[in-house]
Amino acid sequence: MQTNQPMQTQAPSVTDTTTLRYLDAAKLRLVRRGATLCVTIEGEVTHLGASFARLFPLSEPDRYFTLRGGDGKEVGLLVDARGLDAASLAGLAEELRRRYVVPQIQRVHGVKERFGTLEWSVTTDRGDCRFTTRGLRESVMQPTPGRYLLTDVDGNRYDVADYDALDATSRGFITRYT
Amino acid sequence: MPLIEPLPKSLRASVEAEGLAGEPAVVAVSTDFLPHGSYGREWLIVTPSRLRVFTVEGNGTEQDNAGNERGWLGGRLFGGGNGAGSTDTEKSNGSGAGVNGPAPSPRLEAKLDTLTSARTQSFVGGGALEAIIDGKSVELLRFTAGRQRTFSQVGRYLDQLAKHRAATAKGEAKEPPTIDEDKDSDKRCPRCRILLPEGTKICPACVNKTRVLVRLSGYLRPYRRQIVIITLMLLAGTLMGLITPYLSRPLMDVVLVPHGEPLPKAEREKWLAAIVAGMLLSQVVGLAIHITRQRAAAWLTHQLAHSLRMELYQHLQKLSLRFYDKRQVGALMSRVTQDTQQLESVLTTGSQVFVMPLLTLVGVVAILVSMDWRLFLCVIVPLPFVVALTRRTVRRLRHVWPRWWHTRMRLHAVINDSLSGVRVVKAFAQEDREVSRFGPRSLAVAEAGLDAERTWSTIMPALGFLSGLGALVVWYVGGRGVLDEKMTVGTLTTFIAYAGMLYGPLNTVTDAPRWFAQAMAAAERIFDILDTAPDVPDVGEPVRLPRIEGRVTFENITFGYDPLKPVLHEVSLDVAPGEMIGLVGHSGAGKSTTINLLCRFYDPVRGRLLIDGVDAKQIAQKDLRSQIGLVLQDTFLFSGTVAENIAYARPEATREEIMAAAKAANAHDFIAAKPDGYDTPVGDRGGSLSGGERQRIAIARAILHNPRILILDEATSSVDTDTEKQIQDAIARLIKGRTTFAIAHRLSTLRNASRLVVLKGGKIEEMGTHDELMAKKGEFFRLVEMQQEMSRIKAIAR
Repeated sequence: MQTNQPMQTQAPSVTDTTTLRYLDAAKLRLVRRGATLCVTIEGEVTHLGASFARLFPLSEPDRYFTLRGGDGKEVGLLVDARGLDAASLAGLAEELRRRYVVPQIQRVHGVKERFGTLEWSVTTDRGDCRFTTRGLRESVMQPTPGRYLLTDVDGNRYDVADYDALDATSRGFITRYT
Repeated sequence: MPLIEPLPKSLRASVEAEGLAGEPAVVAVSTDFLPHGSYGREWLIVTPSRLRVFTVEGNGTEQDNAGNERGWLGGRLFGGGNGAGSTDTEKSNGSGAGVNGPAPSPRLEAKLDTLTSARTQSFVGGGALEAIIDGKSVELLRFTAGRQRTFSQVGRYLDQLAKHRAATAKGEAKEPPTIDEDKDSDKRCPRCRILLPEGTKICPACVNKTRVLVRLSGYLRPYRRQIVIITLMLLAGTLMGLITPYLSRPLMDVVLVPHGEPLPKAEREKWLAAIVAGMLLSQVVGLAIHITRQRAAAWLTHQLAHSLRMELYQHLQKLSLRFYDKRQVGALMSRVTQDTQQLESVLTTGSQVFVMPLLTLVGVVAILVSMDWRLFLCVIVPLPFVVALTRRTVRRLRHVWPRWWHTRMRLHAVINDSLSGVRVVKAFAQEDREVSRFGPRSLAVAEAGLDAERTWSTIMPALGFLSGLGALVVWYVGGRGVLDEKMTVGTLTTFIAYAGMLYGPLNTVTDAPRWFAQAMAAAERIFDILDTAPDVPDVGEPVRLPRIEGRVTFENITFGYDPLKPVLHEVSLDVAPGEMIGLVGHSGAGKSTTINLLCRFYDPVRGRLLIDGVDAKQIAQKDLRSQIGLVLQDTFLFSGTVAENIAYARPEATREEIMAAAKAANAHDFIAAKPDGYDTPVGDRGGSLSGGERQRIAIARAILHNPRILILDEATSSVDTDTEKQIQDAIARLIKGRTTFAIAHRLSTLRNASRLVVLKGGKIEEMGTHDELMAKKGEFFRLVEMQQEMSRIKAIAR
């Protein structure tokens, strides 16, 4: 993605590095061409190879995005995506789904304890999978009460968004091992 | 106010004889050391016109001490309690005439107008009071360290007196000096003269266990109802426990081994079923009561422990830094967690283990006596031995468990130390030494534990054996009774069953002292902290300063962490709102101390700190602290997310505000690049942040906090040049419009300061702008030169 040179008509230079720039959703157009995301700020500039990332991925996953140009520098912030047109919104959702591969755990089938590692067998929103975590409590984050984030030995993330929404068996496994 | 200690009889007589009494003494204090360097007693007596030193004759200093009627000097020096003091007094009264004989004449005498200055020198283990009289330097007297505090006061007073007289002679009217009241001079309990533990006014000897218990029960008061219910259940449960053996008597005498004319078999079968059913019923009911009670008691004790823990923790947060200076954090942590837990476990298990057996004991004794009082006497034959052995061993046990606890604590501290400083350990390749430091401590824990366990496991079975002897006696005596047909088999077996119940609880009751001692020790340690008053308290009606302008005035401030060893001397400094002051000086010059005073972590010993013209002591601490921002050398981030850390001082800040602060601190870009963005965890698991990143987060925190007064302590260190530039930019934005105090060892970073204050030995050496000081070629110039030299050397070394 980095090889895609941004074809930008240079914006009226925003060299003020001390303040944040908030983007107006109504003026943003997102188009995906193959692997490249093109973001146009209406009347200003088009960024090729742009990317969106969450600023508060855990506490505010659906708001506060940073738009980076092809050079990786921040172009501005998008607070609320609801102002985007339908196509752009879909583009954003697709971009986020590409960037954040954090399967939602829907069901825990079993946990096997083996020499200090745990082998999980789960069903997620992206399909069934097995993964291994090390240690009992070190690989679990609890960003908010009732939410668990597991990180496996390879650095993959698994999200239990709502503990109470799980079935009793799954809840039992999570309580026992986190 | 005059500083008068009660004079000994001999001296009082002579002083009165010379008519000194006509002129009231302003100072009359005794020293315990003679000028030639041996113990002895001398008195310094100062009246408005004269100063005199008396040597109190007599061989025994003890007699002189005792002559001092309050006996407090004696108590102080020789550690005797009241008892020892009073016998000494009698002795001295007896020989009073002898002492009274030669009227002591002053060893040294001077008119106060000849005194030009005075000072105290402190040596190791003592000091001297020196004065300049008639232009000559004179050692007035010497003293040991115990009297240091008093004589520094006296010295200061005499000096001020001389200065005051000189000033009045020149026609400058000034207030005559007074002797400051020495607030915390008394390190001893006013009642028993025992040395008080550091930092508390609670005398361990005068605090009795009962009071601790009474105080503890204060925490129980809100749960009165539950306690009554639990107690009732205890009673009922005990009763249920007593029923089963009681039923075994008819089981034997009526059913199994009929006494006299046996009933028909069918009848006996009915009886058997009824009795066993009764036993079952009593046991089921007992079980139900037992479970309910245990659950209720567990709830109660955890509630209690929780409220105690909360109070302790709240109090710890209130205490000033001075309190923390003296203690290890590890030890405090164990107070909050372990001591409350110990208290809790004692209250749950301990109270049950103690109360339930006691009730059983009462019930069993009543039943046994009513059944056969002679046999009962046989049962209790071993009792005196058991009691005697218990009493003898309890003292040893009381000693043995706390020792184990203490060694464990020390081990804990060592682990904490070396693991938190593991980088230093590795850097100096001192792993082996750390291990060898750990070894003896670990062994000490093992030995103390071994000692405790061994003592315990020796004494308990021995007690068990002794108590078992009673049953043997009953078997024999009761068996004889059955053979002689004076007693039924049922009575005997019932008796044996109850006798077994007698010694069981007795064992646990003898266990109770240990529980009790542990609980009281834990409670005392907790109360010790709760009783420590915050030493930087808010005044009764603090002045509210919702918005500080930022004028800071140091008014003749003298301060030392130990009041006798000032770190800052008479520092005066007036800082206008919005000024940036750079504090410069060698380490130990008083830079950090200045900052500590500014934050009001400590109060000045003398002089005043004014914020916007108001004495800092009068300002509500909340107002003051909420408007002072710190960016410290070691950027401490709490466990939590980046966003939470930035918003630490203002938890209600919006995400936009947090991001704006991060942006201004040059932190937004690196935060946004993290996979978890502002939700990235920091703190104990925040190893992912670099030093420069942590610093910028700390700056963002300060920016969001938006303080009126800002303190930067060596904010840029250990980062690369690029990061440093980013940090410098961030700081430049941060200090705009705020009164700023900055400490930096790299003097070049202070170029932007409106004024530089050069501290040396706790005094302000120079003050001015960077350029002024450079032009002046004074202390600052020298420091800069030295630093440049250093960097040149470093450059060559590279």
